[in-house]
Amino acid sequence: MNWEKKVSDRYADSSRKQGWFSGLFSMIGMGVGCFAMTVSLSVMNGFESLVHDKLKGFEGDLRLTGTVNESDLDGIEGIESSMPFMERRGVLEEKDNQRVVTLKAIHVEKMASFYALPMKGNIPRIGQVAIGQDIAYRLGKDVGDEITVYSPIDQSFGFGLPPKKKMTISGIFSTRVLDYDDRFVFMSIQDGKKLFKRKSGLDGMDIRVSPEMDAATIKSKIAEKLDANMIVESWEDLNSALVDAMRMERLGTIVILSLIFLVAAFNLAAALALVSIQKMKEVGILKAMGASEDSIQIIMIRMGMRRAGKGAVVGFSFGLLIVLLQNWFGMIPIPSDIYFIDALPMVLSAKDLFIVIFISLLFILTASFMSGRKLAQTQIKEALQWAK
Amino acid sequence: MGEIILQAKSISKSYSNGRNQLSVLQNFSLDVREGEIITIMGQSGSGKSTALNILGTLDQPDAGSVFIGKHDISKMADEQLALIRNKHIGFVFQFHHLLPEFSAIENSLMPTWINGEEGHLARANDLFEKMGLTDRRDHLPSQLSGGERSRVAVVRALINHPAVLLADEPTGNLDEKNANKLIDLLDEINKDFHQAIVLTTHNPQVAAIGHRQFTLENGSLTEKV
Repeated sequence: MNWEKKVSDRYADSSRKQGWFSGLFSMIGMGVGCFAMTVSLSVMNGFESLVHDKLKGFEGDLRLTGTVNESDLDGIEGIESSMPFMERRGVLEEKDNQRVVTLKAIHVEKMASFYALPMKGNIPRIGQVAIGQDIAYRLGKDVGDEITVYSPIDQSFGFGLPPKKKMTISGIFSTRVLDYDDRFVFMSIQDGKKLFKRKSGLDGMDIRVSPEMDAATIKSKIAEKLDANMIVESWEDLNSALVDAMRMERLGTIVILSLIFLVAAFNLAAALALVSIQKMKEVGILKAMGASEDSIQIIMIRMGMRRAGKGAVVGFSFGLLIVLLQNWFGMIPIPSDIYFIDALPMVLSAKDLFIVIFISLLFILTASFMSGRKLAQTQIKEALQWAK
Repeated sequence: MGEIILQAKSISKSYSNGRNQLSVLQNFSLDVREGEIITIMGQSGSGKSTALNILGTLDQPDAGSVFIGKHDISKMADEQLALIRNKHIGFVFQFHHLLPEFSAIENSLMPTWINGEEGHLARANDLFEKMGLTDRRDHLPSQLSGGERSRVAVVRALINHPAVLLADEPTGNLDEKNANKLIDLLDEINKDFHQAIVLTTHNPQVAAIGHRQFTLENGSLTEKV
């Protein structure tokens, strides 16, 4: 055991008896800060991963757009599956009621395995469509009802009326992500080819990357192979506004919760300043025996770590326990008709653990360092006279 | 006598109190040789402690220089001075200055811990036995008498085999019996370990143990012939 630890342990024990009140507050402060940040970040992560899963479930990991052929992805490793699609702005018509939507024509036989869509009814076959629940609600439609579908810009001969097709609603999906339930209509690619006369080729491909592969790496591989008229984007690129908003929200949460640490750090600094006054004489003695300023600094930092670090460890552990219990037992319920899950999602990543530990350590070390600096620089003679 | 181990050359030190300048040491010079006891006698406020603090690197002179061995300590950085204090100088203070949270034996071992050295327990036990403190080794300073505390402070000062032991009025806070006992012990240590000692006192009886005896008056040393 190094001597600084021995000294800081003894001083911490003796000062705990004298200045326990301020020490307790710095400990509680750090504990509350660590607990609040651990739980808040895990809840944010939980909801973010829920949104991410839904977005990825709807769009795949990557999207290739432009003049696309199904063979474009041949030879690229790490791609689990792909979904070629044609996409148009279209109209759903029911008597006098019309809704402007995005028509997405896909290989419907792969739809269930490729897209993760909570669906009432069935996957559409030829002559059928799957619509979002908000569209269904606005048009007053349900599974099995018929509806007229057309793409206004796709006239048969470049003029006249576009082809209209009466199709049966095979299923109604509900993603609850952005405006997808109010915007998208899925149909077979065969129906798409009949409706989209202006351009018969594919508009893009949704790509699902193998779970063990990194989507960014695959994106780079695809980008290297692409023609200039093709673009590959990740789901984050496609929803950059949402991703940025979530990132800002996370940053704001971290900054605001750091204020708890700041207050705790002030408490700690005050407690250690008290210790500095109490231990002035001892520091003079230690320096007279050859202790360096760095060693005195280390003693104070160790004391700070011992006081506030304990609180941080307890708060952090308690936060982790809450996250684990929530994941195991779902103790905190949320309405499943709104969120599709019945318990508050909590996910804690290694990065978040690092953030919490780093911020708490930063504040503890800074407060301890600032308090210890002056004590370490005290002149030996003054410190010994202080004792007299 | 042996070679010079501590040397002060033309030391001056003064303190300022606003407009007034109080000169404490003027042209203070002293050579300390291996194995000798030097006593510096003077009235309270004569500058004995200031002189000892400067010799022990606890304070800096305004002018002049201090050599430990051949090293001029006035040119050393704080870290180097800390090392010099730890390895070459032992201090015994009037108020013993033991660390209240540590037992007597831990207090005496503290300089070796600071030095990062283990294995001095046997030496500490020997010194405790010599000082008659064997049964008090695990007591806290608050559980020791004034005389015992002073003797623990002497053990602590000797534990690292210092070149010189600086004792600032070590008997100033003791009754006559304990003061005599401590002086006898310092004399014995000097003889047994060939330990150089610089001791300040205002007591002529204590000063009498010095091989060379000085009086500090008006900031300058005068050797008693």
